[in-house]
Amino acid sequence: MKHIEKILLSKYVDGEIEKEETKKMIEDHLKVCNYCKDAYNSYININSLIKNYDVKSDENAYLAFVEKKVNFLNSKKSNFKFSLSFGIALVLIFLFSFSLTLFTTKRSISTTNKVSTTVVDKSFSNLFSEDYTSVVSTVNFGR
Amino acid sequence: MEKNNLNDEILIENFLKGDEYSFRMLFERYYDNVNRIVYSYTKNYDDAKDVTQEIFLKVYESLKSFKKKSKFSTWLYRVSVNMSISFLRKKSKEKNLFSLEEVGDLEEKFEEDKPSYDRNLAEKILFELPEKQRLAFILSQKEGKRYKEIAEILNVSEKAVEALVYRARENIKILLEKNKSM
Repeated sequence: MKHIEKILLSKYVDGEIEKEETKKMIEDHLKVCNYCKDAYNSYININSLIKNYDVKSDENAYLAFVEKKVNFLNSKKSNFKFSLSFGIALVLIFLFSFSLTLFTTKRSISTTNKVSTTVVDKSFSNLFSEDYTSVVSTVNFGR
Repeated sequence: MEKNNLNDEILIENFLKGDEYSFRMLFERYYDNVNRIVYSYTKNYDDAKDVTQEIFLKVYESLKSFKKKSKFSTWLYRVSVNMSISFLRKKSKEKNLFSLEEVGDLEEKFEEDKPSYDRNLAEKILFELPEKQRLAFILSQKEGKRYKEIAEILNVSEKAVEALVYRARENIKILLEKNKSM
């Protein structure tokens, strides 16, 4: 007699065989084959043994979760606050350095303008005065 | 209608609308199941408790991104499996970082993690199975999941789940025999 493949029997125990025809074939075979019937029974026994597997339940699990959640949300909030204040500080530093640069540039431009104007004025007046002296001296020499 | 009777999808919708109590319902509905799955990885009750809490915190945070392509429980179990695996990886890395002076502490830790003799037979036998076989079997027999869902949770094919459950059964049979003869 041909026996049922054990993998098929395992699927049968779990109700995973869809084809009615296959199911019927297995059922009929189990009625007449002691070898397969034993294998089937051992699988059923294993299932009932595993049903006993459990992890002790924790009554305060939700309370612990709430505590963890609150801590998490608080740390998220403080992280957000930190990033926000860090961002604000960065913006302020940027604005400060920008206005400082702007101020310094403006000042250096006006100083340059002023310096150049003064230099031109001075050299112009010097030139003029020298010219005048030289003119005067030339006149004197001429005499 | 009592909130306890509401299905997962309705509870999720209510939670996303701001009803915190709906999340509590989901938590209480699935805490033990998730804890069992995590425990089957960590084999340590305190670690399992911590990881389970982390999982629910993650779910609380990312429920908005749950796309409802699969059942909530399938999604939750998948998150649980992934987080348990990353916990174990992190733990083994930490263990590798222990210096020689700390070997004594490490040995004590291993002692703590060893299953004690009075642990029930089911747990003792399950813990001797290879990881995937153990999980496929627990999901199928304890959590009542279909092979298709288990395949989704473990990210393997349905055929692979068939084989995993079958091999788990055969291995359990051998382990039970060994246990009888001891």
